[in-house]
Amino acid sequence: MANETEKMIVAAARLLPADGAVFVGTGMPLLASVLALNTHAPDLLLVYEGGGVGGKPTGRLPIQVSESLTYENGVTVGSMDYVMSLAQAGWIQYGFLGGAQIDQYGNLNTTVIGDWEKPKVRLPGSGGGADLASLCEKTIVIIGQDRKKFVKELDFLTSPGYFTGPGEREKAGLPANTGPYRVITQLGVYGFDKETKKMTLLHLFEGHTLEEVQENSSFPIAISKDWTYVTKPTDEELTTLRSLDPDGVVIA
Amino acid sequence: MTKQKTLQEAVASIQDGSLLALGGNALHRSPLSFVRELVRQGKKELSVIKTAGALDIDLLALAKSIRSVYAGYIGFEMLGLAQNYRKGVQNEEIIVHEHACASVIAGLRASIYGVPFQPINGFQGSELPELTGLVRNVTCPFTNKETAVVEALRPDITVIHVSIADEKGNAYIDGAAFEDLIMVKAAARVIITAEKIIDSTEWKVTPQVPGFLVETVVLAEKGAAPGSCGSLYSIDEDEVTRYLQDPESYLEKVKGVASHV
Repeated sequence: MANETEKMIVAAARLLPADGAVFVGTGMPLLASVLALNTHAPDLLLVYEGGGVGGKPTGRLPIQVSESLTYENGVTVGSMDYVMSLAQAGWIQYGFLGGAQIDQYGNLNTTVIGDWEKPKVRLPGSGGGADLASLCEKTIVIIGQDRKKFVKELDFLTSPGYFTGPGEREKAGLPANTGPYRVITQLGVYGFDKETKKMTLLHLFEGHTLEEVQENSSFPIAISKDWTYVTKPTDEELTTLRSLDPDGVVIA
Repeated sequence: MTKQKTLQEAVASIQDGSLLALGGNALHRSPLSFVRELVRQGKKELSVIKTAGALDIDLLALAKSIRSVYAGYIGFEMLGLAQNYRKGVQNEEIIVHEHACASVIAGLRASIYGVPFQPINGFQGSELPELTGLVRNVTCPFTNKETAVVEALRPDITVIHVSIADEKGNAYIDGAAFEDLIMVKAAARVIITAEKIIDSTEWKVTPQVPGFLVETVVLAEKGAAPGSCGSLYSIDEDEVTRYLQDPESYLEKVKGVASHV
């Protein structure tokens, strides 16, 4: 039986394409990407923010993204400048993001809670978020869902989603056909409506309800008329995932 | 003539109020022995440039050694928030020059090319630019396209930690270089701490840092611990966790122990 975190990681791994480049951050994204690499996507190129390109770590999970394990069996190891400029030049298709707050258009805040000048809580900051959210073709957000995180209005817009709706990214000068692709929470998997660019439930994790989806959000979430339950993790997915994190650093 | 000095001598050369760039990334190959000596010598009003900081910035914040930070990220990634940095900012003791990692790098790059600013992609729409003024827009003279630019960041002193250095300042970084090579070229002065110092006739690998850019070399074994250093050692998670649970004790220990190098 998979736990919540395992289900979310498996759902994230399945979103990754068989090949192409994915920009990988710490924690669940790293595990999801390495899981994809070891299941359906052996040719996926993992680009780690610390500088490793094409790393295929074996054995235990690299806890933090710039650890030497992230370039094990890799193509090259450069600098953060090297990998971030790959994104700036448009070479990265997929990227993972997280945040303290998200709004209905997939805009994210990782900077402050409260006012920027006099913050109530100072958060870590953009890191690579602002530019990756701007430049990756498809970003996947992994975030816990509750009313404090799913907010009507962000305290600070660190990493752009669709701003205030359709056409706004293009207006801001961001590359066409880029933006948030999926949001994965403990309750389900969300996409963004083609017309409105608003967050829409696509899949629900079994054991949860449509009511919970709404109760745990401060903005209204549309429900796709074709919504389904997330397919349960297979034995292969779970076994592989647990072998990557035998100490349960992330999944326990 | 050798450029090697002791850690105390090297840190003594840092004026209060200096703008430092610290190499490494998060808990990886950060010059932590140097940072601990900064704390021991009671340096004040430092400003620090760092792409992603962790124990380095948080410890300087705890010791009240820091005035402002130019950084993209300060935190311990999966291990949690940088609580002392967080408190310092919330109490308005620390000024945040709000950057992303990529814009810090762009600012440093401007310095290495000797130009006043650096164009950068990927900041159209984030609130970072408009709130902080650190990223601004100009019209490209060739295409008339609105282009984001970042002002040059020129550190007074760059400090990086490496695997091997020699007495002339040539240095070799094992594994990811992060922004260290850019920081070295961008700064007015460069101090290198190294796990090992060899004779300049003994190189078996090719150093990436040429010694002519370097002012001082310091021997600092385990100089990035409890963070990692390339393939030499990994993060000491127990020690980092002990810091996060009781930073005051860690600080007392740092102050109490005379550095041995």
